[in-house]
Amino acid sequence: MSEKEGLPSVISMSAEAYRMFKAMCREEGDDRGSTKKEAVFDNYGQAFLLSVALGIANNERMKVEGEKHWLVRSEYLSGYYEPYRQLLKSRFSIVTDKEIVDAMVEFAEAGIRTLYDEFRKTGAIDFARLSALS
Amino acid sequence: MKLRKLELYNFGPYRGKHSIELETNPDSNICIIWGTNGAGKTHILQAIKWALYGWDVRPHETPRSPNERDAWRFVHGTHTYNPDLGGKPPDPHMHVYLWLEDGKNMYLVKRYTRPRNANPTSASHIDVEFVVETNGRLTSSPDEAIETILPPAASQFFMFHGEEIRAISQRHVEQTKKAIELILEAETFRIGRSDLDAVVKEIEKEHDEELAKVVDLRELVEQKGEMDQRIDGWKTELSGVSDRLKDTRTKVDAIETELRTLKTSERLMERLVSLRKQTDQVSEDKKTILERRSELLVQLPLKILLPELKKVMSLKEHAHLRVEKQKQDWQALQGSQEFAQKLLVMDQCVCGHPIGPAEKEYIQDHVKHLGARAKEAKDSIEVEDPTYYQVRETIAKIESSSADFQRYQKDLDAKDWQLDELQTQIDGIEKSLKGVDEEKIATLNAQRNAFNQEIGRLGQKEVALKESVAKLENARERVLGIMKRKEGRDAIETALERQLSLASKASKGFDYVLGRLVQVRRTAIEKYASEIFRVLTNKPGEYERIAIDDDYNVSVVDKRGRSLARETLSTGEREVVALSFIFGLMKASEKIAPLVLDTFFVHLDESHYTNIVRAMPSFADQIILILTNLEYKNLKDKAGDSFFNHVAQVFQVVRDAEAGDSTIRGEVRVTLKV
Repeated sequence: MSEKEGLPSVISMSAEAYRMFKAMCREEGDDRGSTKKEAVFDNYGQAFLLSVALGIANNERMKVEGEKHWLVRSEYLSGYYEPYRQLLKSRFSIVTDKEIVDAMVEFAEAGIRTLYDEFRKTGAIDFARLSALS
Repeated sequence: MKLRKLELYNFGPYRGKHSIELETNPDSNICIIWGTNGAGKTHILQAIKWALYGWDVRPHETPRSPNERDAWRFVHGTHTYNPDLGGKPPDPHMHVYLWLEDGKNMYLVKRYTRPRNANPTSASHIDVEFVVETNGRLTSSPDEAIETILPPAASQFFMFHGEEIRAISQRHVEQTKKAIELILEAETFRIGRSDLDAVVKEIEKEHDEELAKVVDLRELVEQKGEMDQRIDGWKTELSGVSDRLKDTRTKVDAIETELRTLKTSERLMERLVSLRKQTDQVSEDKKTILERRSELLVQLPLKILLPELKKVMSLKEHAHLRVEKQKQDWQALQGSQEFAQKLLVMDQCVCGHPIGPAEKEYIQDHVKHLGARAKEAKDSIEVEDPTYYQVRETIAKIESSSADFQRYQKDLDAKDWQLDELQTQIDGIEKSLKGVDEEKIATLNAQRNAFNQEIGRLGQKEVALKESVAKLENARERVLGIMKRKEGRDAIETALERQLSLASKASKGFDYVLGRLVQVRRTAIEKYASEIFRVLTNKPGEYERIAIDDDYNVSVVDKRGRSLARETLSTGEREVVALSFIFGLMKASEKIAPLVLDTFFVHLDESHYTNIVRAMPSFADQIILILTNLEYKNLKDKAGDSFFNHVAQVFQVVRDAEAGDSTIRGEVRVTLKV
């Protein structure tokens, strides 16, 4: 069994983080659509990956405590997972996909808060500014 | 008119030039020219006639134009009366000159021959020239001058041979009648009437031609009437079309006025449509841009992770380089060992120097040493990080990604700005257009288009009708022109008819005047002829007078008033009647001309002879008597002084038998006895 094959089928976040994701993402079947105010993210996957990146870039991670809430199926992340895996594996000497995903969730817990804080304050996320961070 | 001088040159028997000058004393008015038979007496009379008329005019002969044959027969040296036999005259030049005067004018009549070649032998070899001078000046028309002096037809009553008297008295043929009327100047009226008849015929001909030129006026009127009707019909239709056209144009004007009011709104609506289209386009563009957002949002975390990945990559790079160094070291030792082994196999150095045993031993030791070191180096090579290449590839992928959120955002902002701007304009226009009825504008435009189509159709019809009317009006103008010309011709016809009427009246007037004239003159002739007849006749106790009918037939009326048939008279009496008529005619005509009597007394008995001689001086103003020698002798014996007192000159014509020519000798015997 490969390391990838160890990916958990579902990625879960803390309830607080979930609420933040929900506030900024368009959900499947969301009736806001194009007629309502445009969502910051098209889906939870986009928000999760950006939260992970921000957490890593800011070197901020948080343990997920308490009740966990199902956020996204990991199959939606399969196409984008490899760079995270390489980075986390190299930097933190973790080996299994579960460890990696757990690390990603922890970074995402921190990253989503940064995003939500901006969203809460401005009603939007300045992706261009975030792009400049690189 | 009196003959003043006669000049002959090579005329008949007269060779060379001969002339006689005649006295014209009123009381000595008789000139006698006498000679033997064949001496050339009659040539004197013929010379006068030839000079005046170009030929020897005889009673009852129709006057004609002279020709060269008439002249050739008189040229001295030719056969006098048989020119066809030919003859070569010694001198073809011939002339006769006459000097005549009428108390006012002096006429010089010249007729002469001019040979065409040096040796003429026939009439065709000569020309005849004829000139008349009046008071020393050439007359432009010599023939007209002769008509004034003495017309050829009248000459038979003034210049005649005695033998011709009987002919005159017996045959009053048409030519004689005309000659009489000519003397009486009645011919002038006849000519006038004849001219008028010619005029009448000319007018009638012109009238017929005019009638033939024009078509029937009724046909023209009908044609014009039809044209008028058609033109009126077309004009009525044209008027209707023009009214409809005007009405439709008025409607279009009203619509256009209304549309002009709405024009601004129309433009705004067009602008609004355009803005909306632009908005749609920009929205489409924005949608395209937004489609990139999802991918960008996926790429964005990787861009953020890139510095971390590069840090990791940096560590991996060091490890990788170290392993590579270790590999190189091992490979270098291994290479050196293999080289040494090859030397041993070759048993000589690379430079060809053979390897000695000591050297071989040394090399063998070195090979072993190198082998040990290579093994040590190989064993010390670290295990390479398998993720090195994966991370490098990931970094390359992220760096090669064209995802640029800043540019995306910039494009997106630009589109949003465009949309805002467009929306602002749209809002403004929509605000302005609030209350504008777009449907009304559309309806008006549709109505205007429909009316314009109607105008086009009506306009074409109007043009076609105008062209038709113009064409027909032109045709009608032509018909009117023809009618006017016809009317003009009617006027001409009327004028012609008037002229015809006037000419007919004038002709009748001439007839009347002529009739009266003839009647008056005939009465005068009867009177004078009767007076002379009573003097000349030897039966004054029986005969009362001479009567003349309309055809100038002369008869004698006796004392009882009976008209005696000419056949019942003796030859001498008929000659006396003829002489009486001629002398009466001369007196009645009041024409003054020389009376030339050739061999006049031959047929008269003594009684008549005595009577005529006694009365002769009163017959004419100038009398030229041409007598035979016997007549001259008788005259001298019987006439006595009472006659010879009136004789101014006596000429004798003498024939020179040897020379074959004649001469004229003058015997002046003028003695005017008071």
